[in-house]
Amino acid sequence: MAEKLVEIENISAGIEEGQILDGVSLQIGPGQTHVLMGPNGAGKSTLGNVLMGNPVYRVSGGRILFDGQDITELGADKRAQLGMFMSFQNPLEVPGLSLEEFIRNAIRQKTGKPIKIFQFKKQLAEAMELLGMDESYAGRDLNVGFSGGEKKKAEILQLLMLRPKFAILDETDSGLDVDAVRTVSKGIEEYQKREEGSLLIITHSTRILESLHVDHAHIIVKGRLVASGGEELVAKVNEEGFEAFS
Amino acid sequence: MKIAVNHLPVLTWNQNKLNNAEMEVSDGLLSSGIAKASAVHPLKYNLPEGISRQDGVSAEKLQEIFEQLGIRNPKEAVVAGKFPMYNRQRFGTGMGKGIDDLLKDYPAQIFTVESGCRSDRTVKLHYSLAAGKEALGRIFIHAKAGSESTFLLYYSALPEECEYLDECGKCEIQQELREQKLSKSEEGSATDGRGFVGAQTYLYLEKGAKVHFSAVQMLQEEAVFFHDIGTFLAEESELTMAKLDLGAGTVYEGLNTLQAGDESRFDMDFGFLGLPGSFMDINYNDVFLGKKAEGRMYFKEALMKGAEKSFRGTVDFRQYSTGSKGDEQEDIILLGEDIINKTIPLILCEEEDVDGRHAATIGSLAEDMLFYMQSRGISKKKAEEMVVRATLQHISGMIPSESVKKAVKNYICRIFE
Amino acid sequence: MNQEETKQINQDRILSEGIERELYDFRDEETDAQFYRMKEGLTEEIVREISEMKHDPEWMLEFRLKSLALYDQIKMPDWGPSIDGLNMDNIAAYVRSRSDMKGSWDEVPEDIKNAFEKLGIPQAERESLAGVGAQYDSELVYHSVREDVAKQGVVYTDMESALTGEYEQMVKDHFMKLVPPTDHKFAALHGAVWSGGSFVYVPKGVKVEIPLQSYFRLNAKGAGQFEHTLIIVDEGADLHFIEGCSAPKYNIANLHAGCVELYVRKNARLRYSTIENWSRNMYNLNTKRAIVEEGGVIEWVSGSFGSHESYLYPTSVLKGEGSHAEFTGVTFAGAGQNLDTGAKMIHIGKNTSSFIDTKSISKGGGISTYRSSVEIRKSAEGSKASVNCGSLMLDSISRSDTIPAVDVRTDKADVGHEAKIGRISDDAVFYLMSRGIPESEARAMIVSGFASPVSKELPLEYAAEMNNLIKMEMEGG
Repeated sequence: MAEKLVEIENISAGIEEGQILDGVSLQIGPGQTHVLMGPNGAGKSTLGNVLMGNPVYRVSGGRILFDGQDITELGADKRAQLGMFMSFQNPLEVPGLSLEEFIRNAIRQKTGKPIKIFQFKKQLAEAMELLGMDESYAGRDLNVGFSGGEKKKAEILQLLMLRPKFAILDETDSGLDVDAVRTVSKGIEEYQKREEGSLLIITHSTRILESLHVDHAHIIVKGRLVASGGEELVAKVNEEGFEAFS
Repeated sequence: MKIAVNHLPVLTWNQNKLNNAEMEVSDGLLSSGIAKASAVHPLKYNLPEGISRQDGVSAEKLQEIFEQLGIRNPKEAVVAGKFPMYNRQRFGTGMGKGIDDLLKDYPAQIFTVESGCRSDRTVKLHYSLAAGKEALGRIFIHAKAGSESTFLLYYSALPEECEYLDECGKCEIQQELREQKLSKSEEGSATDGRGFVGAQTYLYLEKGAKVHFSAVQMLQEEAVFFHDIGTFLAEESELTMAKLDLGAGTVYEGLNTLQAGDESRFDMDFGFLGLPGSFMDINYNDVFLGKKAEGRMYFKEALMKGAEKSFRGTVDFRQYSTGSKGDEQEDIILLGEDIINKTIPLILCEEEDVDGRHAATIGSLAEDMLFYMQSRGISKKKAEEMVVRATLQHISGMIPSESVKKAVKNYICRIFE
Repeated sequence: MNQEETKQINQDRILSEGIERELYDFRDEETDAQFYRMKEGLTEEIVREISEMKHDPEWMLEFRLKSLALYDQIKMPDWGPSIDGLNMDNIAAYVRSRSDMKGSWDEVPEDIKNAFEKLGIPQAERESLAGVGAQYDSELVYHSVREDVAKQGVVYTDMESALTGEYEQMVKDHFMKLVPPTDHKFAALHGAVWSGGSFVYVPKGVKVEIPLQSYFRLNAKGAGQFEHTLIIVDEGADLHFIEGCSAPKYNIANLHAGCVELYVRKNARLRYSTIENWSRNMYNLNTKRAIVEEGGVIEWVSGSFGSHESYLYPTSVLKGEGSHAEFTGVTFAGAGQNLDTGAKMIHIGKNTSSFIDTKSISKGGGISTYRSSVEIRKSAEGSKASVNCGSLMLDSISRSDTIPAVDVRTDKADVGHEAKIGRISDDAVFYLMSRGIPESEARAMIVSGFASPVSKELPLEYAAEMNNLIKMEMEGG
């Protein structure tokens, strides 16, 4: 394994209307948890989406390495198969496709092997219990009629089931009440310790970080990383907001 | 011979070739008429209390009944362009007068749902047809005031071996087959041996009546299938409809819904899987006459390599249909090369106080959906397949029969394996 | 006319590649039962007379006669608004009356004069228009523009001059090649009796900064009804052409069968804007078509307010790879009007894209129909098309139809379509009234807002005129 799992080298990217990210560099080691913070519109989610390969964003400069491999041009499915994951701010709804079927399909695509159904069901039930999800959700259509909190939990459920090496959590705590934040954090903790996976947590608040171990924190303002440091940066944002960094 | 069907309610450029379709009917079918064409007899009548059946109603008698019931097909108040001749039917259907003429010597069955009937039991009419056979059928469902009923029309190939096993491994429809002998065409004067199944269905909902109507077609790939539907909705009536076309390689579908009464509701979901090289022609109209009526028609389709499909969908607001809402959506996923996909979604309107919308998406999956799937490691091809399966599964979920649902599921599995 | 001759005309097309015969309207596929045959009102003598009067070159006379033969053969369309009210026996009369047309301000119908007053067209401008009519020509306008752009090598002249001058070969190579007379009955009629119009050539790489305007086209030959516009924008060049504006071109005759042919070469860009406000006795059967080469862009901006009846569907043929077309249109049908308008997009080249955005408004018994066709050919892999049309009904005696066809032949394409119909929201009217705006004004403002996708694409003065037109229509003008 490469010493750095994720290497973002001087990435500039944007949409048709204009550039959003301006030469961002960032490295994430195996097992590390990084936090990306910044005011609204700073480019946090853009960075997450660019990492995952969302075709809406065009990379105009720089490159991204994953496990030592240049993935800048790779499609999202290939990145996921290499071990990347992103939890969406607004997960999509698919009527007619159950949550369970969806996860099973995704695992099958990744491993290329048939799934041991009994084992799978057991793992699914365990993960759902950890997240406080009613088991009936497994059979329900993917995200259809799920509340905001249920959608976020379903995303973390996928994180636990797909077992990626690296996960981007895009505003996973937004719109959640205190209890739901706690449950979601529990799921993330489980991922940290069970998979020794790396994390990039994108957030504009610090609530979700209270119970999580954080290795590094980064502040992004107007498409540029303006500060990087340890957990103390989170505390600084808590006290002073983002103004101090702009 | 060819008969003209599925007329676009307003004509447009001829080179679009959407003004109507032509359906090939074997001369044998017409000349021998009913004698040789085997009647489409349901395998099993499952009539709940309060629902009765009358057989052998002649076309003339049927028209008389329509007249007595006050069914009419009114003309537009303001005419913009040139119209085809579909208006001439008393009880308008989607495929049009060509089908009335084709079936003019063909007796109908009438199902009458009495006012008191509030059955949640499904009247399941299972039509099973051997490969290469011909059959025509005509049904009139008359739902009286305040009644509630559920109908399912299920067209399936006659299974040589049972494909539809229940959990205990027993064939679910073999049983039904044994109970009811199929009426078969004696000489099998099939349209070049491909099989030809046609049905005309009228639905008349009196005040406050509710009908849940489903039709599932899973004939063999060689078969030609048509289903011509006319519905008349009186005030406060509610019609929900689920339709699936999965099997036959050549399909014509037509529907004309007349929301004649105030505050009627029409809700329709249509799923269609165009197999490689298949042909599909659709003409669905929702006509608003009454006030505060609401109509919704959603079409979900997938076309595989070499499939051809023409779709006409019309939301038609007539004068005085104030406060009415019409919504139509067609989503088509193209899964292979050499396809022909034609779509013409119309809004016709002569009333100010209405709210109408139609939309169509044609091509691959929506970008955000594709990205979501891909971010889970699912390839584009697989993602499309999953969404198509999910869509058909979703519509199948509305069908009030576990065995048919299972049959649909098995069918879909088979197609995508 | 025999088949050989018909074939010859077909072969004359330079666009044999790419545009196939299905492209064209009203042809060949009609069955006799559904149509009636138009009585012949136009004779060879009349056509020869026109040709002589205009000092046509020999090939043009032949072209006219071939077109006349086609006109007699081709049937009337079976779709669209009824044109029974157009007395086809009088075709010859319409053509003839052209040469008698005086075009003086006194002869301009009262309602159009009033329209000018309400529009607030400046006195000087109005005088110059009247003067144009009186002089039979628009020399002043023409020349001032021509001198300004001539330095860049841009050719902007009337069709007659172009036909006999140094650009004859260029005209011959392009004239009615994109819209051949075989296209439909009125294209054939146009080919036989066309007169007047503009010829524009923009050389390679030339960007014309100011829009060219064909504001006044009532020239000596009375070219109002059958004018021909031919524009060639060469590689990398850029042009904005405005025709008609809001000046209602008055007509003695009540038939307009013009033809517009636009050639957009590689990486060139052309914007073609029209504000049409013919008087209400006009049958407007106009044909407009553009062909776009690799990387080229055509943008149509179209406002249809006038005419008794209109058939108008500007067509973009996206032949070259990566070419792009946009159509932005608004149609306002008031009392006595039946306006059938829309657009056609034909994707042939790879990675082509098109975008249609239209608004239709119906009022006072008026009928507006949005009609379109978007074709994605098998060769047009990677293409995208989007159609968005909105309709507004202002009362319950009018009619509004939306008839959009889409034909996709490749799975490697994405097409989106959305249409909505509705009314002016009471809440919106109330909101504006609560700010002190009178109701009629409020409604006019909302309708103007509805039509804003078109007005914001127009130069300021034309946008203002368009909004004035809407206001007049709303007042029942």
